[in-house]
Amino acid sequence: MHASRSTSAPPPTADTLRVSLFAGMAAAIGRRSVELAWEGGTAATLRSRLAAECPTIAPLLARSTVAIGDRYVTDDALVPCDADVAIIPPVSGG
Amino acid sequence: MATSDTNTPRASTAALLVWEPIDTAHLLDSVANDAAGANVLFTGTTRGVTAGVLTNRLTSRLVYEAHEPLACAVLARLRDEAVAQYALTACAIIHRLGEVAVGETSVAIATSAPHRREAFAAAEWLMERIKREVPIWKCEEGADGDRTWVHPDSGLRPDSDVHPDSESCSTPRPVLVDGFGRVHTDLRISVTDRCNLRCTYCMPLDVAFKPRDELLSYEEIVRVARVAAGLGIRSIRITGGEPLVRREVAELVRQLVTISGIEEVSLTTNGLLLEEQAADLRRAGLHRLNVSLDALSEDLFERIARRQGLDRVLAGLAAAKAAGFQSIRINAVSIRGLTEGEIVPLAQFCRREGFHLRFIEFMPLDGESSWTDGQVLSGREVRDILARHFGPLVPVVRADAGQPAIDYAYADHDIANVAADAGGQPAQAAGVGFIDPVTQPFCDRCDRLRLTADGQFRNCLFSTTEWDARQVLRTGGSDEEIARLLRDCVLVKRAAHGIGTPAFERPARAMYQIGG
Repeated sequence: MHASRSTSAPPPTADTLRVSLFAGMAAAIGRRSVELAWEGGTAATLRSRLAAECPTIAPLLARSTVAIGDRYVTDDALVPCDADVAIIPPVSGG
Repeated sequence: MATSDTNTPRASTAALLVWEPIDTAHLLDSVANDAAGANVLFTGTTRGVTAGVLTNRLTSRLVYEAHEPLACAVLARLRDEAVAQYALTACAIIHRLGEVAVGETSVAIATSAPHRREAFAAAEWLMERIKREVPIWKCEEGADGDRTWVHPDSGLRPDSDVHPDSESCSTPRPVLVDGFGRVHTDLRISVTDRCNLRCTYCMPLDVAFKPRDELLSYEEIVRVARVAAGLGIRSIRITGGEPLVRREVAELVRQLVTISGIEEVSLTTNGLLLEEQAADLRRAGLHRLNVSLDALSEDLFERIARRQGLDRVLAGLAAAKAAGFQSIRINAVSIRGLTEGEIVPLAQFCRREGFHLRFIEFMPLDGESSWTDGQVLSGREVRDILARHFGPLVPVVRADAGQPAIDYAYADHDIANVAADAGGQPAQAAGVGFIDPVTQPFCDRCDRLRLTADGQFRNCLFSTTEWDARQVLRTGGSDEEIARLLRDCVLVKRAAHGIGTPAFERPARAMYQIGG
């Protein structure tokens, strides 16, 4: 589980969004990513959907930020199906 | 992948993730150059003992992981910001991933500049930002084999840091950071200590108000706000007393909203004078309204407020809606043995009207100094009462992580709409939030500073120290002197208010004298 370099998985199907998870969030559900049926929507929608699908990570999700590619995004940002999207829980580097 | 498997920076502008021990001497060498009169090396090393909630715990192993492409990109952007902001001649950052033995270096920053002040300041600034923003996480493994991922309560502030294309990437703004790394972006400005109610939790019945000439003029307030905005304050809340009893508050709003860097101006009111002023406030550019309303029964309203006025508050709320205010929040103080019967009616009212309801725990800032912890009706208890009546409450993800409230949606409402409301969009479904300063202190992510009506900076509601801005303003002091005062005030902010601890000292001022 530790210090893994990103794994390259096959691309998701058109209406599936793969969301990368890290650290305590990945540990909590035992997976580094989850796939959601996705018809498009904002980062806020994504977080609500994720909270509904994975209630165990909801509290941490509430304190997390969404990233697309190499940028953090605000809750009103649109998340396309092919987005390289990740949930960033509170960080503890340094 | 944007990472390097070597520990040696190619040039003096490295921003790298590595899996091997960091060669700090080499890193320092790499930033030396002919233009630099000062080279600073900072190293962060892993500790064997971590302070836990209950006790210190022994850590035997630490492992770091990262969202690597994002971490590299953020590190590079921070490096570029530091170089620009502090006029560095070189800057290099390395963070280690994977297992790091206790005592080894997990992060190293080297800066060089013509003079030492900039080199030191840049290294410190970088470290603060790295700890808050770079997607790297630490997993502590205790001697017993227990693994814990560390997710501190403070951290990324989506609202403030997540503007992908904003100019903040190229022209960073200064920040007000305290000794615990908390960045302050919110200034609460009290415009008066006067009020047209006498709520028990705020003000004594036989109150003596400050003479008018001791209060800051609007001109003085705007000057302080402008200086504060230059230091990184982004939102302003106008409070009191009751702010609407002061003349021409809309005029103050009009001036505050034009200050460069101020993104939101909001106002907290008891609503009594809102009917007359809502439209003016809206026209002046006020972004948001918080209305205090503790009871919907006239009897209890009068018992708490020691004046009548419920009908005027309700008329004020209607006027605020009509004026076009969205995301109106109702703040209700919960007091045991007093307000339990109001919880469900308030929730029904707010659901019907589309207001966001927030329950606030009773704090030791009451006018009669008679607060006891037995009177605290906790947010948890209020939530249970609501859940029994309305069904489950669903936690809501909010855009602004710095806000103290924990928000919930009613399960029979649309969650996504409430989340959108927190982002400043029109509310289609009203949620309910809990501000629990007594039972769930949010000090560790507090981003607030206060300016009292008589011109004193405070770094906490419960602070017993103040910094006298009025003195500076009225003795011909410069903006830089005001800025220094504010920085001093932030620098010594304590870790927590300490209510419930033996060391807690009740402030000499009550709520109305500070600004709620």
